[in-house]
Amino acid sequence: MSESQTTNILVVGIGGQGVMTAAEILAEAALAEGYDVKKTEVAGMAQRGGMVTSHVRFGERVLSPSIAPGTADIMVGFEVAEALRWCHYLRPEGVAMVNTLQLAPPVVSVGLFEYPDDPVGKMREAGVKLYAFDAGEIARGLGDLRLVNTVMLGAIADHLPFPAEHLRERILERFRARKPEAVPINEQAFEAGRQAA
Amino acid sequence: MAERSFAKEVQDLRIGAGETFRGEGILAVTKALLQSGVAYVGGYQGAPISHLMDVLGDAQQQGILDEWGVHFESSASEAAAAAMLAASVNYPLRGAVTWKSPVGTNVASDALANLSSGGVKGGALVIVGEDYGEGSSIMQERTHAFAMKSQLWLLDPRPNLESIVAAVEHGFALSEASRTPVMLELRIRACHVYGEFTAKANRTPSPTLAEALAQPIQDTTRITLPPVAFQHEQEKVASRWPDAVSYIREHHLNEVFQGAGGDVGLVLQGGLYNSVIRALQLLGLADAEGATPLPLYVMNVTYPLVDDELVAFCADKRAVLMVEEGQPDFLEQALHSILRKAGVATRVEGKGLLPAAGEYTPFALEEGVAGFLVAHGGPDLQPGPAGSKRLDPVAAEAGARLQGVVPERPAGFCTGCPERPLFGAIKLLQQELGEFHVSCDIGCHLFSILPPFHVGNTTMGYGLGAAGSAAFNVPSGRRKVLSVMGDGGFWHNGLTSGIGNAVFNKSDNVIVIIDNGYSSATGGQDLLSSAAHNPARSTGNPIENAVRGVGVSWVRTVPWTYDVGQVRDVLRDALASEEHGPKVVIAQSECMLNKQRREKPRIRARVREGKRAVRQRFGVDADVCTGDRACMRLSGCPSLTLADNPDPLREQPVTQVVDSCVGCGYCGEVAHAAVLCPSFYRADVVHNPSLFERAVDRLRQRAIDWLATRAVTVERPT
Repeated sequence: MSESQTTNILVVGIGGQGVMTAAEILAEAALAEGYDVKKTEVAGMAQRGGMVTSHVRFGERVLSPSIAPGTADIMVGFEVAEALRWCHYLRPEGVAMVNTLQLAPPVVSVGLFEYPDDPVGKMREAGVKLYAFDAGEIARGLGDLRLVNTVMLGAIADHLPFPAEHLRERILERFRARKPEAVPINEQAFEAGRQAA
Repeated sequence: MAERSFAKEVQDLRIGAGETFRGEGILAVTKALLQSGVAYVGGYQGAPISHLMDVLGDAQQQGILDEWGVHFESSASEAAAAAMLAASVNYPLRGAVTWKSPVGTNVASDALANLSSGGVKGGALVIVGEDYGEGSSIMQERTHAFAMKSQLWLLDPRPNLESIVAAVEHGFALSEASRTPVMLELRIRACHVYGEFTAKANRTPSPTLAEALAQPIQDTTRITLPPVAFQHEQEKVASRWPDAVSYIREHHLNEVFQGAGGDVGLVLQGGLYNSVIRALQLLGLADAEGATPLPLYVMNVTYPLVDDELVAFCADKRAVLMVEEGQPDFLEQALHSILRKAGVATRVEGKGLLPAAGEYTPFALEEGVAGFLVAHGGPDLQPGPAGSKRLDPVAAEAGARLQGVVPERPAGFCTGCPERPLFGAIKLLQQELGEFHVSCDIGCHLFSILPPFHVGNTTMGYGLGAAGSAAFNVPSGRRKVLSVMGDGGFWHNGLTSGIGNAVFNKSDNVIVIIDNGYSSATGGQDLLSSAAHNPARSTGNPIENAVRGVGVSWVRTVPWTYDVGQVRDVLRDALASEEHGPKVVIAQSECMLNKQRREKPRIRARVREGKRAVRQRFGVDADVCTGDRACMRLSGCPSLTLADNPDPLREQPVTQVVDSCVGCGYCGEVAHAAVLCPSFYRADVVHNPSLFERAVDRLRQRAIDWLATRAVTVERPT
């Protein structure tokens, strides 16, 4: 089987945003579909404010977890500058789902570096096909900022090679086990994410 | 309690023969140790084997190690762990130790050299987590050199669970067959790779440690003291080395994948197998199952080499590519030597085509492997486009351009880290007294060299911060030198190399010891001075007692580092003191990462149960903030960021405290200590407030509303 029959999803963001959890849910959902799944991440310094990337690859048979630059089918960006940093991992027809949240790193806050001006515009200019929306706004609208993760997963749900409802089930199942009262609100967040994209 | 709990996963260590074990690489290693009848295990934490120590710790706490009579110690240092292997010198006891390499191997090398000189009777295995390449936190070197200099054998298995488990089992047997300690090298991805293997039953060690002790053995020919030391060297070359090569050959530890035959091939370190296969997949020369037409010789043992196997693989080939990660190119040189001595003229390619240094990811390997095949592969083995040529040229160019405009996002102190106020205080002191030299150490505190602090001039190794300032103990400089070490480094060796050294040499330097209760940078493991109760260890031993015990009389403990003013004043006193001898400042406050790990679930549970819970956080009054960012320049806290100015007449963005704030209070403290800014306020976020609190809140809201209405009324022109 060739490389092209594998689905490559790159999830990027900053430590604490839920990048690794989102990647884990995607991997679980793909496993439940019967795919062979591999996942890897660079997270060593993540909890200390650094950037985090997680690679999820699935297909009939996948041996290696890391996505080559220029081959990602989908990129999920939890922060807009991070999306800009990693968007060259997308293949030309790939799709980016970008949360427009801007988190200035301390080097920007103290005035040593500039935060990129209009990151979404820059990606569009470079020909990146992307959906950009304020996931935080959607989550806050539903009453809890922590729903961002579910919103972002909802946003990519219709771009996966398996039904969106299966991913939704996977997410809700996690909440059913750990926090049943949060199931309805997460269902709403997932659908809101789908609408946003 | 360590950063990650394996309490659930370690239950799988009990599974029996024929069952399928599923899980992470480090768990597989632990299971393999139990299956091999290991009698004792030790080690020192550090990526990428911190989790191996955590797994062993959890297995000990769950009583699993006791079930098979396995003794486990969380060693004081890698040297202590290596010395523990002395139990295998006289007795047929299998022992294993683990650490981060090559830094841990540096520390352990005295004991390792002694161990490998006298040799062992029982299998002695050193599991080294090779911290090389992406995400590494240390200097880039190879453990291979240690294997060669002490003549220890080095296993580098293919990164899958079956191969790793087999390497553990063969490692013990190889050690016993050649009376030599064996190192098993695991790269970071191998430690964390998930997979499965068919388990065997765990074995109780035979003899047990107690049985061995009942029959003490003294064999002076195993103790490194001349003239026996000269005999050891002869034994190494005359019998242990040949016996090792025989074992490796007979048990087929190295693997040959013939592919479609042909007259070119790859020779590679076992640990690189997956990356090489992926590179071949990207070049269209391997299928999804990893099958490739290219013949491969996979070195699951990278020292010693089996000369005749290499000659046999290469003799019928025109050219081979040696895929060897890191430098110097020990294996490539050895391969040249082996083939030329055997009169084999096969062309050997290697570092000439592949990167001379740096991690060999599949993407780093692609171009070198492609170059080799273009030159030597013939018509059947021509690769597809490699590297940037494989990418869409427009996208690749745009990608490179876009990446350049994104600021770096280096890791730094966590939100609320108690070390941030310490370095803020040092910064304030430098503003007051002028810049001074700061000798740093290994640990989270080394983030002090980054913006916004820029504090620190050198780092020489774990626990060596104080020793790193020793040369500056001169009259002209003594009040201008400060060194820093963490509690982890202090107990590792800093008590002797730093504090004892300073006392003995009558140093007047100032030494700061950061006492945050954990070995934080390695994953929050407990230490001698940890406040936490740990049933398996003795904690709660104060650093101050140890420091005074070795003869320091000037010691000040600052119990709350967030009090920036106090930290600054104590440091100023230390630098100004006329008293002779080292001045030691112990800066205490619990590691915020570990504190939050404990506190957050507790608060969440209380909120869920409808009980009252209070969370503190800080904020900035946007009407007062001038937007001069002075607070940020002394803080660097990730939760301090910029927001649009709410005042339409002012363009300068104001400081904003985002949701990640844990309420440590440092930003407000430092602003106060630096007499910067009155705009910070502290708020208590009360969950499930009491009836009284609700009533007071309603009253306050009404008062505020009333005042707001009046204010609007007054401002309106009549």
